[in-house]
Amino acid sequence: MRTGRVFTLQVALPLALMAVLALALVMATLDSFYRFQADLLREARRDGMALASEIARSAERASLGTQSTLASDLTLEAAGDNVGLIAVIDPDGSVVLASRLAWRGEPAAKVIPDFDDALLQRVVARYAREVQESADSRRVRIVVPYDYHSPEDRVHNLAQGAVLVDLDLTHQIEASRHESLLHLARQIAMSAVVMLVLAWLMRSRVTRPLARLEQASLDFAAHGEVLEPVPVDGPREVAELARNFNEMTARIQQARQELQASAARHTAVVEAATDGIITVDDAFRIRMINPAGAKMFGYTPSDLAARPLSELLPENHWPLHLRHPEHADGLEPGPAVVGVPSLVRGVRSDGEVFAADASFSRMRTQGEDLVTVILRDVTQRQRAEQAYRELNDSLELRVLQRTADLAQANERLKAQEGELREAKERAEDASRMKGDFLANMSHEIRTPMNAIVGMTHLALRGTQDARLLDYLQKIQQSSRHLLGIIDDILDFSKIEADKLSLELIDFSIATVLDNFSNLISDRAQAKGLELILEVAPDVPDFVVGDPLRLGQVLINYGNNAVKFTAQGEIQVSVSVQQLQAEHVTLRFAVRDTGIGLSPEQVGQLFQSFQQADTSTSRRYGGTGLGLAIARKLAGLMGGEVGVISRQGEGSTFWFTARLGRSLGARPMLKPGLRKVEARVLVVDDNASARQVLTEMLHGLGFQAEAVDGGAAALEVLERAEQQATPFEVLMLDLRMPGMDGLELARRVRQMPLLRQPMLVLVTGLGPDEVMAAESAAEIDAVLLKPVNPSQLLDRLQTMLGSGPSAGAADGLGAEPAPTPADPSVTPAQVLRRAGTTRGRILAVDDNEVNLQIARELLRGQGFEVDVAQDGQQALELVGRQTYHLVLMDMQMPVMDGLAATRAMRLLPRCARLPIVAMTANAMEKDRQDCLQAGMNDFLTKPIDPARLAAVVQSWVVPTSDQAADLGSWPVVAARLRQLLSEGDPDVIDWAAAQEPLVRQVLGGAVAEAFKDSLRRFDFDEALGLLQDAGPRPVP
Amino acid sequence: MREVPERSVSWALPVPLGASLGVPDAAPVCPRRRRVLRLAGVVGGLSWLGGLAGCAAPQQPLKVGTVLHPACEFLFLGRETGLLQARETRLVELLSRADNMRLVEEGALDAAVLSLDEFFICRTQRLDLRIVAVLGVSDGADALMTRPGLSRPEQLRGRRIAVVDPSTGMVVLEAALAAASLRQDEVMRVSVTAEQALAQFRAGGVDAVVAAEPWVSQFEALGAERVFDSTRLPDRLLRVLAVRSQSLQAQPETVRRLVTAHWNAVDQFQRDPQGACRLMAPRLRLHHEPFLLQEPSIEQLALSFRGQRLPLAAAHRALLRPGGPFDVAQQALQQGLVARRQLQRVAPLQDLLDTRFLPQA
Repeated sequence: MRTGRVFTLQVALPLALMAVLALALVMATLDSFYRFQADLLREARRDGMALASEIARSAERASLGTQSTLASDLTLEAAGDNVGLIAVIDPDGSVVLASRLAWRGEPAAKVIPDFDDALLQRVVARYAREVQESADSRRVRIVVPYDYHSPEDRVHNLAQGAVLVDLDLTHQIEASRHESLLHLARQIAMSAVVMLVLAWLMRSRVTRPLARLEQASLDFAAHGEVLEPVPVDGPREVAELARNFNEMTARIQQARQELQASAARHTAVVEAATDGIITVDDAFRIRMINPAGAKMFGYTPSDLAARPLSELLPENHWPLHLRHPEHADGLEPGPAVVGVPSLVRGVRSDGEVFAADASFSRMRTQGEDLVTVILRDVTQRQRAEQAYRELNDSLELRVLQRTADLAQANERLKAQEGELREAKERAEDASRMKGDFLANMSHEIRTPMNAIVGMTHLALRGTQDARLLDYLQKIQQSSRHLLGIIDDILDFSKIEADKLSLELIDFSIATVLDNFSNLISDRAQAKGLELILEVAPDVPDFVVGDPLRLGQVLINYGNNAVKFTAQGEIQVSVSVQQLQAEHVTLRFAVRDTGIGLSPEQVGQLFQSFQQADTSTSRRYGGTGLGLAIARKLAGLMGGEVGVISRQGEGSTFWFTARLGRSLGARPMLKPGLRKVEARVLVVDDNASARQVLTEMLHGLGFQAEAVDGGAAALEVLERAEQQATPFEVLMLDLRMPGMDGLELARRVRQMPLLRQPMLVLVTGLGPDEVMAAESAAEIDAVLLKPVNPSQLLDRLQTMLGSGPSAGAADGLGAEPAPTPADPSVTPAQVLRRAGTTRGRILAVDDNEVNLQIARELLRGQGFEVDVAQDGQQALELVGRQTYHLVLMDMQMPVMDGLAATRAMRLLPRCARLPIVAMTANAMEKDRQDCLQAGMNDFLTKPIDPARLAAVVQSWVVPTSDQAADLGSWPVVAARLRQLLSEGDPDVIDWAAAQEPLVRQVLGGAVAEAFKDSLRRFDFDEALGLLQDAGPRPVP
Repeated sequence: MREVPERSVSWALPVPLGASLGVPDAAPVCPRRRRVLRLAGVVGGLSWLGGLAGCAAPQQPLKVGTVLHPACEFLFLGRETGLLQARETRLVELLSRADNMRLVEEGALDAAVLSLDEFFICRTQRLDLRIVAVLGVSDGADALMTRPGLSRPEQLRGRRIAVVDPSTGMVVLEAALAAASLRQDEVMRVSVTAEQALAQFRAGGVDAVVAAEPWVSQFEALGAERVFDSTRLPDRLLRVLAVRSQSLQAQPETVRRLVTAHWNAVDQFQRDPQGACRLMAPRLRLHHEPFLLQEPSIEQLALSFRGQRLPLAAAHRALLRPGGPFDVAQQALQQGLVARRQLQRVAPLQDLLDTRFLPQA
C-alpha cells in the first residue's frame, strides 16, 4: 500500500480494460463513420448524376420550346435535401435557369460560387460528364452536357450547354458523425459502469482481503503473533493465500510453543538429573552445570559458573583432549553424537578424588562449539561390582558346563527328528509314486495291448494265408490272455491302492446276465457244458450300482467254473437275500459240477496270489488274483463272497451285493403283464435246466410241466390229449440222449393230435446247428441257451400271437451285424437278415483296383455295389437306380468328383443321398472343398476297411426308420462298456454299427472323440467318455 | 449541436476519470478523501458521457418555400446580407404557388411563405402549420382593373374578367362583386397567367383583370382603371410565414433567427432602401421579367412593393390579438371552409399561431 506504487490492482485493471475497450470502440466508430461518409459520397455522386442527367434532358427539350416546365421542375428538384444548387448553362456560359431564380441570364462564372470555367469547357468540348468533389468531401459538383438548340437569330460559339448540380452532404455527414458519437458515448458509458462494477469487485474481493493479509503479516512481523486469523474470503487464489497464511502463522506459533515447552522440559530434566551434566565451551570454561553435577563436586551451581573445567579435575587425570584441546576435534560435532564414554577422575571441593563415568558430546550452537559432559559418580558401584564379579566368576563356570551338556542332547534329538521326517517323506513319496504308477500303468499297458489285439483282429480279416492265420490267431489268443492277466493285476492294484471307485447307475440285471452268458456260453459249449440261468421272480430288473463290476465278479466265477469243470453243467442263480426300502441285497451263485475243493483249499481261497493248489495253477493257468478281486469287489459293493464245495462234487461260489433300488425298478417278471396262459411242456435231460426252465415258465404265468426225455414227452403228450388238456408249446432240448430234439419234433408232428403244439428248440449250439435246426420244417422257433425270462416270454408271446408282434424286431433293422448282445434277436432272424442286402452303394473311381477293393469290402459287409468310372457315368446311374450311398473319387476324367456331386445335388432324388469322398488328398482344404460341394463325409486312401465300414455304417440307413432307438441305449451302452473294459477289438465294429445311436446320445463332439479314442485303441479313454455321458434311463 | 465536434476533442482524455488514477502524493492521501475523489471522477465521467448522449443531433437546414412575391424578398435580402446562414436555412425558390403548396403538403418544406387562403387550404390537408409572422399585408397591391369606361363595378355584369392569382385574386374579385352587388355567376371569370392577362387585355379579350403588383402598374400603364383594390380589404390579404409545428419543436432557434432576419432585413431596407434594392435587384427583376426588355432602374424594380405593407414586429401584437383583424379574417375563412366541408371544424386562434418569436411587449 505504501510502497510508492501508484497503481493498485483495483484501479489499474479496470482502467486498462477500459482504455483498451475505449480504444476499440473509437476505432470501430471512426471506421464506421468514414465508411458511411464514403458510402454517402458514392450515393451522392450517383444521385447527382441522375438528377443532372434528368435536368439535362429537360433542358434539351426546353431549348426547343418553353422553359416554364423546366424552370418549375428545376425549382422543385432544388428543394431536395442534398441539393445545393442546380444551374442550366447555355453555350455562352450564361445561366439559363437555376435554383436561384435571380441567376437567370447572368454569366455562370459570375454567380455560381467556385465556378470552374475550364471544367465547363471540358464537359462541353468532350460532351462527357464530369464530377468534382470538394476537398473536404462534403460537396459534389456534377456537370452534365446537353444539346442546346439555339434560336436561329442568334450565333453561338458552342452547340452544347451544361447542367451543373451541386450536392451538399454536410448535413448528412454531420448527422452521421453525431450518431456515431452518440453510439460511442453510450457504449463507453456502459463499459464504464461495467468497469466500475469490476473495480468494486476487485476491491471487495481481492484488494481488501490482500490488504488485510498484508496488515496481518506486518503485525506478525512486528509482534510475532496474530491476534485473530485473517478471514478466508475472496477469489480462490486470495482465499488460498489467506488460508495458507493462517496455517503458517498457526504452525509458527505452535512450533514456538513446542520449542518453549521442550526447552522447559529439557531444563527440568537437566535440573532433576542425578547425573552431573556440565557444558563447557571451547576454552573448557563451564557454561552450565546442573545441581547434581555441582553437588558431585561439592559446590553449588553458581559457584562453578564460568570457572575452568580443569579446577574440577586432578591434573594428572585430565582427559587427553583437555590437556590438548586440539584433540577434541576427534569428537564428532552435533548435539546428538555422544563421544567416547570413559572413566574419569574428579576432585571434590574437599580435595577428594573420585571416579566417574563420563560421556562427552559435542555440539555447535550459534557458531560456538560446546562440549557437554555427563558424569556419574561410580565410586559405590565400583565397589559393588567388584564383589559381584567375584561371585559370578564361579557361577558362570557351572552354568556353562550345563548348557554345553544340554546343547549336545538337543543336537542329537534334532538329528533324529530329521531322519524320521525324511523317512516319512520317502514313504509318502513312494506311496504317491505307486499310485501314480498304477494310474499310468493302467493306461500305458492297456493301450498298446488293445492295439495288438485290434491289429491282430484286422490282420486276421485281411489275410487268407493259413499259416499266417494260425500265427495271428495265436497272437490274438496270447494277447487276450496277457490282457486278462494285466487287467487282473491292475484291478487288484487299484483295489489295493483304494483307487477303484464304483459307479452308481441304473442298470438291468438281465443285461448283466446276458453279457455273462454271452461270454461264458461259447466256452461252456466248447466244453459241452450246460449253462443254466436261474433268476428268482422277485429279483428287480433294474437296480442302481456298477453293472461292470458286478459282471466282472460273475464272469470271474463263471470262468473258474468253466475252467475247472470237465463235464456237467454250470448254473447261475440270482436271488433276493434282503429287501429294504432303498436297497436290495442280491445273492449271486455260480454252481458247477467240477473238481470241487478240499476244506483246506477253501480256506486259502479269496486270498491274494493264492490258488487252490499250485499244481492246478500250472494245469489251469491264471494268476490267482481273480477271486481276491472278486472278494474286494463284493466288499466294495457291500457284500460278501463265499464258496460251498466238496472235493469231487463241484463247487458253488457265491457273492452278495447291496444294490440301490431303481425308481423304475420292477421285478424282472411281472406276472400281471402276461396274457398268455398256455400249457408248456419242457423236455430236457438235464435236471437243473429242466427245473430252471419250468420255474421260469411258472414265474411267467405258464402252466409248465417237465420231462427228462423224448419218450417221456411223447407219453405226457398222449395223456394230455386224452385228458383234453393239450400242451400248446413244447420246449425241446436239442441234445438229449436217445432221442434228440429234432427226432422228438418229427415224432410229435406225426402224432394224431387235435392241435399240434408249437415246437421250440432250445439249444446252446453254434450257428451251423441252429441253422440246421431251424431249417427243419417241424421247428417253429429256436431259443439259444441259456434262456432268460424276458427272452422266453417274448418268444412265447410272439408265437402264441398275443405278445409284441413279430414286427417288434423291425426296430433292429438298424442293427447291421449279428449282435449276440441283443437279447431279443434270435439267431435265426440274424442269419436270415445276413442273407439279405443291406443297401445299394455306388462306388465311383477311375482306378479299377480301387473299385475292386471297395466292391469286395462292401459286398463282404452285405451291400450290393455298382461301380462307375467317372462322374458322368455316376450321374447316369443315380438317375436310374436308387442308392443308399455313393463313394466318390475326387479326381477323375470326364467329370471329377466335385462336379459330379454338385450335379447330383441338383437332382431332387439325390438331394439327401449320402455322398462320401474317397481321395488321396488328406489336406483340410480338400475336406472343405468336398463339404462345400455337398458331400457328407470324407475317406482318405488307401482305404482302411474298418474306416470304410464305419463310414458306410454311419451313412447307410435303411429308409424305413432312421431315428436311432434311444430305448436300446442302456443295452448298447452296457455292451460297449463291457467290450471296452475287456479290450475286445470287436468294440470298434460294434460301436461303428451303433454310431447313429452313439452320436445321438453322446452328442457330436463327444461321439467324435469316442470314435477317435477307439481308432487309437485307447479303450480307457473311450470308456471314460462313455461313463461321462452317463446312463440313459429307459424311456 | 455544434458543440459536438469540440467535445469530440475532449473525450480522448476525460479529466474526471483521469483524477481517479491517483496522482502519487508524498504524503498518504486520506482514504476517505481518496474515495470521494474517485467517486467524483466517476460521476464526472458518467455525466460527460450523459451530456454527450443528450446533445441534440445536427439539424437539417430549415427549408423555406418562397414564391415570387414582394413579401418574400426581405428573406432573400437577409440571405444576401448574411443574416441567414445557408447551413441553417435554405430558401427554396419556387416559381408557382401550387408547387409551393405541394411541397409543403409533401413535407419537403419545413416552412413556407403563404397567403392566408393558402395557409388554410394547407390546413385542410391536416397539416399542422403555425403562423410565426406576417410578412406582408396587401394594402392596394391587389386590384381589379378594368378597361377604360368600365369604371363602375356594376358595369362588369356579363363581362370577362381575368384572374391571375386564383387564391388572392378570387378574394379581391369576390369582394369587388359583393361591393357592386353582383353575383359571381353574373361575370365570366377566366384564369390566366399574368402574361396571358396582359396580352388578352391588350387584345381586348378580357374586360377586366384581377392582378397584383407589379402587374397592376403594367395594366395602369395600359390605361386600365383601378376599380377595386385591397385597400378595401384591410388586413385581409396577408402573406404569412407558416412553419410546420414539428420543425417549430425541433428547430425553434432557427425559426427565431429566420423571423428575426426578416425583420432585420426590413429594417435595413428602411434604413437604406437604395442599397437594399440594389441587393434585391436580381430577384426583383424576376417580378417584372415577362415584360422586362431592358435593364430596369431601381425605382422601377421597387414598384413591386407598391401597395404592400410590411407589418413590423411591434405591429403583430395588434394584428394577431384575439378579435383583431387577423382573428376576424381567419374566422371568416375557416367558417367558409367548414361550410364547404373542406375543414372539419374551426380551429381556435391559438392553434394557428406561434407567437414565441415575436418581440415581447
